[in-house]
Amino acid sequence: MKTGNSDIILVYFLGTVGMLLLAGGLLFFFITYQKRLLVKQLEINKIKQDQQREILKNTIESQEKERKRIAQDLHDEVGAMLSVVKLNVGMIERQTEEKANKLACETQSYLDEVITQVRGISRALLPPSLEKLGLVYALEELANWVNMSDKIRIECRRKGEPFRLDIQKELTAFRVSQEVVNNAIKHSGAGIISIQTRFSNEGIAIVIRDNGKGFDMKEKMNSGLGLKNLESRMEMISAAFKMKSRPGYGTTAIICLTK
Amino acid sequence: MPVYWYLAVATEVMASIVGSCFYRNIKQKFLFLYFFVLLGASTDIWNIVSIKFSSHSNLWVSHIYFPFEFLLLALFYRQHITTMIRQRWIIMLISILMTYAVINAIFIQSVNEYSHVRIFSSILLVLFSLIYFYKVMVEVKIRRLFADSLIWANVAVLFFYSTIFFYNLLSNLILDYSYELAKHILTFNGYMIVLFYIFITIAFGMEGRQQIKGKSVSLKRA
Repeated sequence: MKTGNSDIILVYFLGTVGMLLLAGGLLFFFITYQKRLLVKQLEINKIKQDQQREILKNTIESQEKERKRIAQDLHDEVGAMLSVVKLNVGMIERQTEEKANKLACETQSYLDEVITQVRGISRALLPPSLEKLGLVYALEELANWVNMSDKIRIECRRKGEPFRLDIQKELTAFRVSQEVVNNAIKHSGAGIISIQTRFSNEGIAIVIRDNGKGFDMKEKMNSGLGLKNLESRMEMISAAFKMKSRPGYGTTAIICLTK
Repeated sequence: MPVYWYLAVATEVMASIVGSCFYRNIKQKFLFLYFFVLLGASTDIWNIVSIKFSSHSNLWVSHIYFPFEFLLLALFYRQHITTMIRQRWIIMLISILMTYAVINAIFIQSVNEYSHVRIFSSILLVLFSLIYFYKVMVEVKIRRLFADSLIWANVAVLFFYSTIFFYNLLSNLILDYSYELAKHILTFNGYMIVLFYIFITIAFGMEGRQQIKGKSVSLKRA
């Protein structure tokens, strides 16, 4: 009887203390783990906020850059031409008929030049073909425009049946492609740039490749905001942007747009 | 009558009063827990009265109280762990345990023995409380754990049903072997009940006050 009694006490005591410790341990684990998770979540939220701030900063910077470029184009090219036109118009009144006719012809050619430049600026802002026909046609038009100069050659290729995406997505992708092409023209020293557009069920992939001198990716990523800016702009439309380059092996940029 | 018994009943009544005062504000989260508290308080009051006026064993009450205790607490958890466990599983567990309680009372145990239905129900309730903690951990929605009323209620369930598990398992042996031992264990259990109902009272009070605050803020905004 006594042995049975002490056994029961032992089992009860050990069991209850064990259960109490187990429950306490589980609660402690739960509280500690929850705290850690909360800290992690706060860190993730902070990173997300920083990323959004960076995207916003880059967007504002690129808008400012674009405005500056347009202002410069208007001031240096269109403004200068129009000043000459104004001078000519003022001179026409005081000239003989023969000289006035000559000045009028000269003024007309200046005005033609101004019209061409305004068209160029307008096209650079929003290519009409992009809105009407889509991304692939706008890229082909960009290539034709660059090919007119004979300094560099752009080859356009297309795979799959073309389809349209949201205009905002297409415009951002076009802008980024345009910047990649501009960078290649300005800095790569390439003779040929190829633009390949692939249409698939998942979306559109644009691959822009040049045969220029290339650059060290790490160095560029650390020093300049340009690449980050392009990445941020693509992130804003939930698209992906990747760039590969090695000194002496040209540069490849890949843009992936989902449907 | 030992002191702990009066203390336990007092905390049960206190939880019932706090629950009743905030009934409108707590019913969304704690409706079944509130009914459980009412059931617990009325059962213990009945126990005191029956012991005072009768010398017969009142262990038959455990055959009625334990299945209904599990029913109400399982329904309470069903409301809060639906994202982790399917409602039909909880309903199935309730049905199985209730059926077993009836079979046990009629065919397996004598009604004058302490019902061992609580061995199974306490395991299931501890499991539910752990599932709830897991849900809180996965969702990471609660920033300050002990500012949440459900956490208090869940801690109460986890500790109470863990610690009384071995008593439920050995209750009939303990009662048969030694009256003195039973008295000590019942005293410990009594204080665990006190703690359990204090936690539930905190949960009711916290939820009630939070709901009232929330309503007054939304009224000010309106």
